[in-house]
Amino acid sequence: MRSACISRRALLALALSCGVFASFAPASAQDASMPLKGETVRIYVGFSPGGGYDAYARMLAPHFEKKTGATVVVENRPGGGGLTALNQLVRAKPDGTNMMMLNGEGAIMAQLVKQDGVAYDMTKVNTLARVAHEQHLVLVRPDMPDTLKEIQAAGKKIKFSAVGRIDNLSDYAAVLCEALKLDCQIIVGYKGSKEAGLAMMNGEVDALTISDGSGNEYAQGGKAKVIAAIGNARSPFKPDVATVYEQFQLAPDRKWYMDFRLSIKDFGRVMVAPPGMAPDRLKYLQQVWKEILTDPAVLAEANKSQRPLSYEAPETLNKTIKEILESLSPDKIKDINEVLQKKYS
Amino acid sequence: MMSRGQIIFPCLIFAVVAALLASGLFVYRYSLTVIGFPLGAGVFVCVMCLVDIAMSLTGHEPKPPANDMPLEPLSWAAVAWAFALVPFVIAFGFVFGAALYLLTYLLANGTSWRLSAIIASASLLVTWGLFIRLMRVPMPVAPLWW
Amino acid sequence: MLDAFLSAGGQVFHPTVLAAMLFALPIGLVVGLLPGISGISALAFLIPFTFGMEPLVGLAFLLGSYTAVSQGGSMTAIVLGIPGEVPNAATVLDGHPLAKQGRAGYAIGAALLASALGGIFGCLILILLLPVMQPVVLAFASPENFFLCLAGIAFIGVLSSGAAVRGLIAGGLGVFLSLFGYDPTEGIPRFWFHFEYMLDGVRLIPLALGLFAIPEVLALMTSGKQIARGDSIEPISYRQGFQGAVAVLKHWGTSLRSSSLGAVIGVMPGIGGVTATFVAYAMARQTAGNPETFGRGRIEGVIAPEAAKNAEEGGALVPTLALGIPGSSSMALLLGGFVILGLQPGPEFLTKHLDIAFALAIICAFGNVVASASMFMLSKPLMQVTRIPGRVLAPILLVLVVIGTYSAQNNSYDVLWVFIFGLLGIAMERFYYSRAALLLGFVLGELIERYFLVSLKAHGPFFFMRPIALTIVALVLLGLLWPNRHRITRLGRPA
Repeated sequence: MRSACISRRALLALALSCGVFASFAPASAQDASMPLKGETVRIYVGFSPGGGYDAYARMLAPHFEKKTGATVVVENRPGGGGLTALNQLVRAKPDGTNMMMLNGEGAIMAQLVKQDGVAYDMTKVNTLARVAHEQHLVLVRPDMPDTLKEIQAAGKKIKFSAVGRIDNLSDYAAVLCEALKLDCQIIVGYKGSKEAGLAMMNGEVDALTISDGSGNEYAQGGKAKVIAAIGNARSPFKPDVATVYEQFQLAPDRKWYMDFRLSIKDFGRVMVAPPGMAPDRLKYLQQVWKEILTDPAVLAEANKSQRPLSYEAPETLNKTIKEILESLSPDKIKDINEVLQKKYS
Repeated sequence: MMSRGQIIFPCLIFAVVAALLASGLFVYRYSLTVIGFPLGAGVFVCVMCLVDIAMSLTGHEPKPPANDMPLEPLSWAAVAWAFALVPFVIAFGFVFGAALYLLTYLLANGTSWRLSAIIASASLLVTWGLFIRLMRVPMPVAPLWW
Repeated sequence: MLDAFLSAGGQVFHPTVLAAMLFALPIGLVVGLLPGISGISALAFLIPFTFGMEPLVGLAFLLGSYTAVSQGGSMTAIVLGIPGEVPNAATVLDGHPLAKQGRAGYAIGAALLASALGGIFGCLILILLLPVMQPVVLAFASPENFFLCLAGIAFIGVLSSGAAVRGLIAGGLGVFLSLFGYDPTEGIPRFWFHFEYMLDGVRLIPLALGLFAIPEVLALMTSGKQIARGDSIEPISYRQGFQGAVAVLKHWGTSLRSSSLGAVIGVMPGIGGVTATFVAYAMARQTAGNPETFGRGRIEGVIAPEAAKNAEEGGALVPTLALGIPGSSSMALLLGGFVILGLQPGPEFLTKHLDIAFALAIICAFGNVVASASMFMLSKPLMQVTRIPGRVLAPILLVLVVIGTYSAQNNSYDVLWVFIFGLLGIAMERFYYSRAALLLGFVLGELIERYFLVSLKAHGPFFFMRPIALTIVALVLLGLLWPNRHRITRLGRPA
């Protein structure tokens, strides 16, 4: 009886280990037109579940699965302001099974100002597609003047709220103040953009530069008013609000920082892959994402869940990166650092 | 001696906190805004540790209230067993490492083969079935050194 | 407004809505029982299932599971001494000693009724405040939040029963540890020593689990005996649970005070659940007789944090619905759920969808009650857990803790840190340094720095000269000095 038990156990153990090893074995012959079929693809998100990047990744994952036949897992890897995940991505296998829904603007800025903890090089990271990018709006309290011109003329000190020294909120506030020569103080240290918005609503600060989606929300209900859009075009959320460029005729040197920040904005939220990918695999992925992000059905679904998509091809994006990261002189970078981080604190 | 044991902990805390503050001030040279609060909290902790050590040495150490349930003594074996989970997980991954650990621990501590096997299999079900498949937690199944 | 309320009632008590809530409850209960996994994970897991649901059905689904999670977390805190969610750490202080005395059912019954009542109270506050939400939420800016956090820290002294110096060391160490990682204004990571993991400093879940769970597991492994080790262990029955429930009604003052505190703290978007539970616990200690018996099985020490926690979550819906500003991190996730369901919380929401807002409050209250009742039916098996021999229970717990910790942020290093903080927890337990004080200091320390620096920048050095801020200071002083009031009044009298 005992030997029968042992041999039964041995068989069970053998079967188990075979199963274990089988699951680690590489997939059999691939379908050439669908090289990722049957594979598990990971999309890293540098933030905890519930945020915008997470929402975009989870919204797009099923579409990627359908197109490639792969199984997609969205992996939240919060840390380092979303950059730890990028550090991990660039060390991952560049075979198409690892991608990241990246805060492209933040990644570029962090590399530019040589922030602690940056272990990636955006010029080497493979860009697959831009998923979305946001216009920014200038919001002020209801009791402030109605136009930027009046605010500029009044000459009083204006307080902006922001989360960190190089986040969207403080960047746009800084370039706005630089362009219009406003007397600004950017108060950094709020826990998140919602808290920064709350600070404006309860009077702790006077103004806020925030993405148009959020800005539109805050403006409803009378606790804030939108007085300008920052960009080359008006925001689809507030088409009747003029841009800063429309309201003011700015000299080139004053405009420079705003233009610079807007060029980074064009990078937006991007889908990226590790460096060193085989060219044909890279082309395949770029094609898949292009198809997904320009599909009318997907666009409609995205609009319905208030997460609009705006595709941009990787070639344009790569050009932007090169311009920003490679063609700026060290002096100019120092100036940028000065304006964005120190001047208005 | 009771006093000796009592002062090791505050000494350690003092040493660690002081070392960290020193690194912040002299090696990394953080600015005042950056080091301000840590310095305040750290100095407070260090001062309190010194007070604590002084109190222990002069016999004023806090005594547990009389009708407190006595704390169970800890054995080094238990500590070793608890920390042993780490090498199991590293060597065999979360799913199999946990199951093997359970099997090993339970058998070594006198539980029957049947119950141990049941518990180990349940662990496989929970880690793989509930966490990885159902809750989509990206827990690595492969060994961590792979 | 009344018709909105009635309409809400009609909508909630609709079969599909109720079914959604009841279906989500067990998921919440299970998630709550697993240490390390928090309500946020449950919500994140469930949100995709709500695609395509009717708004109210989807919300019932999410809120239903959410209310259940905290019930589950309280159970592990009492039965195992392991907080299921970090705010449950306050329940461990008196709940687990009761379990060790073989009176787990008593603590469970009290915890369940206290949380049900606290939850209902929180929802009542929500309903009452709905019309006037905005000015209330907007009255609290950074200076007020700063003083609230300071108030929380002040109660650390209260938590360190008789060993004041050691309690202060623990609290101070907690504050110190919270400051690792990125600093709020410069963005420079402190004490990271070029380890990527340390860019964000010490993480909450490994700290909380390490401090509380590892020493418990080790004790079980050493003794090999069951958790219930007292001299006179009562038999397992529902009777214990009913006695616990009766205790909540008997100590109605504590229940009411803690619920109010929780609801008020919940309304303020800057402060979280941990503060509510610990401050409620400390307040209960201050106002009850014989404060030195707390920490050894005082039932008020279970009632207070439980009532406060659930009231806090009801209160946290206030800023979430009024302004679209999440009152807690789980509310942030819930907001995501709202958007998916086609709703947009904020000022517009209350004018356009007041009935849905009321419906949410009703679902919250109802969910609390049903979750408590369901958990009560599970109380017998839970009590059984305290009778499982340690040599079987301990390794299972350890595995659950490790898996739960990993699941929090998908980071293997978190698991390593659980063990490192476990060592800290063991030392602190042996030498009577309050782990609760460290946890509270950890949660509040970072907030205090942040609010202080922002207040200074935004309002200048006299930022404290504001009516609400000064009121908070006055209330805190009152709360701290209350037990000594007789001594103080005697000081005024001639000898």
